[in-house]
Amino acid sequence: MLALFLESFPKILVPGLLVTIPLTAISFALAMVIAIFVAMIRFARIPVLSQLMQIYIWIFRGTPLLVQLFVVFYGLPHAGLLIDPFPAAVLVFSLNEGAYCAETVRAAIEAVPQGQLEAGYCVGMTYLQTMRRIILPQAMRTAFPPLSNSLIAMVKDTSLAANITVTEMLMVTQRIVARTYEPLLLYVEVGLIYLIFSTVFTFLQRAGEKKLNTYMEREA
Amino acid sequence: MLAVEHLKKSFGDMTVLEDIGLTVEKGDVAVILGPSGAGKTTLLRCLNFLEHAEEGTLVFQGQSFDLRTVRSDAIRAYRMRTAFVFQGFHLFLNKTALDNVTEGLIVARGMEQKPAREKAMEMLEKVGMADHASFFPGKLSGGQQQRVAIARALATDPQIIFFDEPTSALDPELTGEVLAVMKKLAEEGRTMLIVTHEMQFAKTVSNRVFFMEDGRIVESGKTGEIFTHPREERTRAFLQIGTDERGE
Ligand SMILES: Nc1ncnc2c1ncn2[C@@H]1O[C@H](COP(=O)(O)OP(=O)(O)O)[C@@H](O)[C@H]1O
Ligand SMILES: [Mg+2]
Repeated sequence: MLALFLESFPKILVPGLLVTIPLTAISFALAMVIAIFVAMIRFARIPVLSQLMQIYIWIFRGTPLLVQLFVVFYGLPHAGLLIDPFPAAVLVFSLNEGAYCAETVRAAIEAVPQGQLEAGYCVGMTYLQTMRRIILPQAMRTAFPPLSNSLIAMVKDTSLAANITVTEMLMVTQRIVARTYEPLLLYVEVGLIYLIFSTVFTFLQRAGEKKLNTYMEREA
Repeated sequence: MLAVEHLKKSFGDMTVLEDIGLTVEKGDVAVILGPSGAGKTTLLRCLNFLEHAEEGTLVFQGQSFDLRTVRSDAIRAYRMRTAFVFQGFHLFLNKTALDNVTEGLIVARGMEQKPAREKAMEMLEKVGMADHASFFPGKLSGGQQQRVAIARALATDPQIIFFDEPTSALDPELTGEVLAVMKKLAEEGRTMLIVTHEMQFAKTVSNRVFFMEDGRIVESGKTGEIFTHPREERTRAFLQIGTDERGE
């Protein structure tokens, strides 16, 4: 038992480090870009675009992530669009996460006092300059805790990518189970590795929050 | 230098400003007085396009704006030459006092870091806040925040500065430090248009008064005349109350 645990540990951890973590990191980074872009369009109430973004959010929040993965990986090839497993997973995870985070970011932007934007205008800055320099930094501070929660949830959700043949941790574990018939040991083991990943991210989140808080109170 | 004619502004179907006309000359320290709800804040906000007036013209340094059709690039160019001090300060909360002052110089005007910082320090010194340059707004008292806000307004060399009740959000013991700074600016010959309830300040520092009530300018004139013999009964009543309240 212990021998199997020790032998399989690196076999599961390596795809964790080489696939699960990069998949999470790349998808989340793209999701942030999407979220900020969509949130700014929605905040500025740009006609047509704003409605389109609302439809995007509605679709990606209203359908299961697994269904979205299947549509892109198994469905799109029938429409002539063939995407490799890893990029397909990145595409779906970032669009899905972007839809959720866009609403988080928008709420945070709306929580920034109106006077901040007006003060920006009055010193001669444009809307975009004020957004970038004043509003978004304040909004991202507010959005940091919920966004890091989303990130931690996403680490776990990447296990769904096994369903579209991405050889991430769960897929590798399933293969070892098929060979050794030790499902209890191996699934607990992979769960443990997810737990380690989440714990590390939670730790980073705390450190990040602390840093953000002290930065505003430097001259305390 | 700044003239407004026939300015009209409504919120929904409630008319808040009606046929407003006013002129401020270079070097004027003009105050707008009047009861709460008269439309003073709204007028000042219209003058910097924070509110959109639906009628009227504005002439600033020979350049005329039709308030119905003014374009956003013209608004920005206009704001580059004016400054606004808010009742609630509105310092950039994610920036230190110094960065609050440099922001308009570096970002909006493309100034280099070093001269911008020197200029900003000079302005902070003028308002007595140089020793708090690295403080974030959250660590400053209201009076200190407002003085930094004034430094921010001064840094961009505005042709006119609008003040909307700059001391109304402050504890009484903190208003003095802000009024002292404004008095200094008046002595330097800066052009200012100030909404205030500080009668003593209005009487001694301003040279021109506009008295507003119910969305109209009821009376205007030289400070000395308005305070000694106002023509309008309403102005007289208001000034009486204004001075009584302060136990003079
Ligand atoms: N954003 C707004 N929406 C609707 N009504 C407003 C708004 N701002 C001000 N008002 C109304 O306009 C009138 C003038 O307000 P304001 O300009 O703030 O007066 P003052 O500064 O002289 O106290 C008031 O009746 C106020 O309720
Ligand atoms: Mg007001």
